[in-house]
Amino acid sequence: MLQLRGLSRRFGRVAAVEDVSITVREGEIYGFLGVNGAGKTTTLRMLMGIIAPDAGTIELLGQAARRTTLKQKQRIGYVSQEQTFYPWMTCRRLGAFVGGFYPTWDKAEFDRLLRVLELPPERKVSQLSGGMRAKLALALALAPRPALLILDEPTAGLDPVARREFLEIITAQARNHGRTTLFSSHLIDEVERAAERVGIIHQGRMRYEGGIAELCEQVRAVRLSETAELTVPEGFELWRDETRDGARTIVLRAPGAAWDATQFPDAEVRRLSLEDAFIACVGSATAQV
Amino acid sequence: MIWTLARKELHQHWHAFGLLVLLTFGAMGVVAGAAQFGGLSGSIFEGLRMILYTIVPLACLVLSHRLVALEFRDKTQLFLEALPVSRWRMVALKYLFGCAVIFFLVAGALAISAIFGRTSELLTPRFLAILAARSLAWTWFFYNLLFLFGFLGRYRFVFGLFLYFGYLALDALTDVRISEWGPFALLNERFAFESHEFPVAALRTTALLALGLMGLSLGLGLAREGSVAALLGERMSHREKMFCTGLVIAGLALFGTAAERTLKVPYDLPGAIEEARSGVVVKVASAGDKRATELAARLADQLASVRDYLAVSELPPVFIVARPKFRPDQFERIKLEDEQGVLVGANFAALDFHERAFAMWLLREVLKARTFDRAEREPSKWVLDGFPLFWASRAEVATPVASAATLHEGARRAASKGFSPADVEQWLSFQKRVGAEDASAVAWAGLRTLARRHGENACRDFLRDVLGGDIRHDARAVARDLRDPIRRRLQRAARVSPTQFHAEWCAEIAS
Repeated sequence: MLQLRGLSRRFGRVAAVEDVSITVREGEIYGFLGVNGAGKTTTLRMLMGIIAPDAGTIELLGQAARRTTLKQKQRIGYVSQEQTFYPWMTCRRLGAFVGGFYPTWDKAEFDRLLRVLELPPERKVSQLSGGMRAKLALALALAPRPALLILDEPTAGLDPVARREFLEIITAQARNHGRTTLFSSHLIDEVERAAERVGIIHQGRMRYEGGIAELCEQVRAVRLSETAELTVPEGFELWRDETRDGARTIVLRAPGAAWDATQFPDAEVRRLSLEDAFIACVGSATAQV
Repeated sequence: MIWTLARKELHQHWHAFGLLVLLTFGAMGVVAGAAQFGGLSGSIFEGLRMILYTIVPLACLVLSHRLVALEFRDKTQLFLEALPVSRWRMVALKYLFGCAVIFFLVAGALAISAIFGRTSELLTPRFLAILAARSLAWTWFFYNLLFLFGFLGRYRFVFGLFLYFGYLALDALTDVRISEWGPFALLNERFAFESHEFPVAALRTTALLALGLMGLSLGLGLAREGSVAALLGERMSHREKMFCTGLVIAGLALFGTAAERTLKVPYDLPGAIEEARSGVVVKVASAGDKRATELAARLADQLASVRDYLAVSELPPVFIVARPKFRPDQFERIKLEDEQGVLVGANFAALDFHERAFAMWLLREVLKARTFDRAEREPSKWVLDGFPLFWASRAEVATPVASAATLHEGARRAASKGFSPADVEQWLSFQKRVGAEDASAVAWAGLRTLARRHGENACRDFLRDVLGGDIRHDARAVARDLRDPIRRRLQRAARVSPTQFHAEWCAEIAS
């Protein structure tokens, strides 16, 4: 469905995104994880053709290009981080306006979504709450019946109830319509709840791509005494080395089989939650507390 | 999708566009109505010029603010960018949309003025084409300038102020006559009357400037994927506001100081022959030539008599320079800055120099300068045109018009082509129709009629009211003309209605 290969983008001297490759399979929900400023939005903006990549290719719906074309864009539904709609437009008028850009726009579906999402059609955008605006953005993204739905931190700024509701709509859409969804977030719990596969980006580079269960299987913490020495075994990747309260914890990544085949004498090995694995992935490599 | 965007713009800004249409067409309608029903006199295209000077820049400012600055300030361009539409189409559509609106306004104003002016103006296709070319080129230039301003976001007003003060500084501190250059020359005083020659050089300069500005604005809108315009479009921080205010105040202070230090030395002709009377100075550049001395004395005497007759305290100083290559009947006026006097060139050393014609021509130029060119505007133009001839033959003022055979013949010839009361108010059109010389003869006949039928005192009072008095070089003069039109002054001086006076005038010519 979607393949980004070696995507890079610099802003002056800052490399916002470097050699990023992502694969999103048809019908799956893909969680794009990263802390603030990791390069998620830049990657998605490149994917939407809003900014051009310096290098790399985007293969979308079987067509590879340096930059997403308008035709491809017409098959993507996009919800941005900030909803900057025209405040003077009503929900219905906004739908009519956005519909003019999509040949596949389904007015009936948009009206249905407004109803389902409890959005008053004649209310002006300026009179909508943050949560309602996010829902409106989702309705606008879904009404053209896109092949791919991209959401850039759609729940940022929403209260927990609205966030939960929003995620349920996305998962229901994916489940019921088999819609491929790529959504970025820095909130682990929502990714864990909705996504099947994740990509973790940190400082503009991809650190992991795969299933959540695989990540939890591959990344484990090894707890040693402070003075104990440990050489990272072959086939293992050191993600974090932390000393806290007289105990040293190192986080390693390796295939499940490698973990089974390797013994760590005088050490306690434990599995990590997605949140711990994510923090180990994006935190500094060594920490002294 | 282009239509979707266009519909959005129309829906978003229709009330602003509606107001602009009302303002432009309303103003043009008022000007046309006033010209038609007598509230305002002069060419209707002067009204169009006024609208091009005032309402068109205002409309361009409103359009650029609403179409560009507002979009970037509210960050709604981010929403558009996420839609399947390219950035260049977005910018180009805004540009073309604004163009269509502003050209619609100007074309409408032009059409209204042409419709209302068809009875009083000599409208030829060429004249209309010249008017359209001048109006549309000026509009295009201003629209492009202000469209660029739209992309400058929060700095557009600061930039605009600097451009304006730059213009003032150029005008005040240097010899550059920016008002006679490029787009500004398109709306000069010939705008309403030039019916033969296209101002090719000014049109070319304006078009090049407009193209350059268009390139700049589109470039700025698209530069770095729109991020430059987006950054400029953000609201000004408090610190920036303070900084910009300081910058503007400093710029103003600097301009004021520079203007004070570069006060220009008044114009003079060193070593010239000088003849001074009370309130009159005539200087002739000549190395002690007797003819020049006598000429200066005669002209000074004539001007002093005129000064007394019109009861003014002083007349502008006159500077005459020799032009040996000129024909004896060829004279020219050289424009002096800041109304420092009347500088003219003539071949006064020639044996067959037309001194009488020169004196009449000079008198007209002096009165023009004294009234800051207001006397040359309709409807007082006939008074200015007739006065030199009237003055030259003032000794026979009581005799009938027919006693001056040549002038009478000219007046009759002109009147035979039709001379209505409206022609008095629209003298330029009448002059175009009958020729300048014959029109002057008609004007002379008018003043002679006034003196003969209503007394010399009435005529003198009327002339004092029009050509004398305290005339200001600012909006007060315009207000005075509006408040106290020429026909009312005629009524006050001679107790005669314009219609009755016109009838007497025609009768005198026909006698």
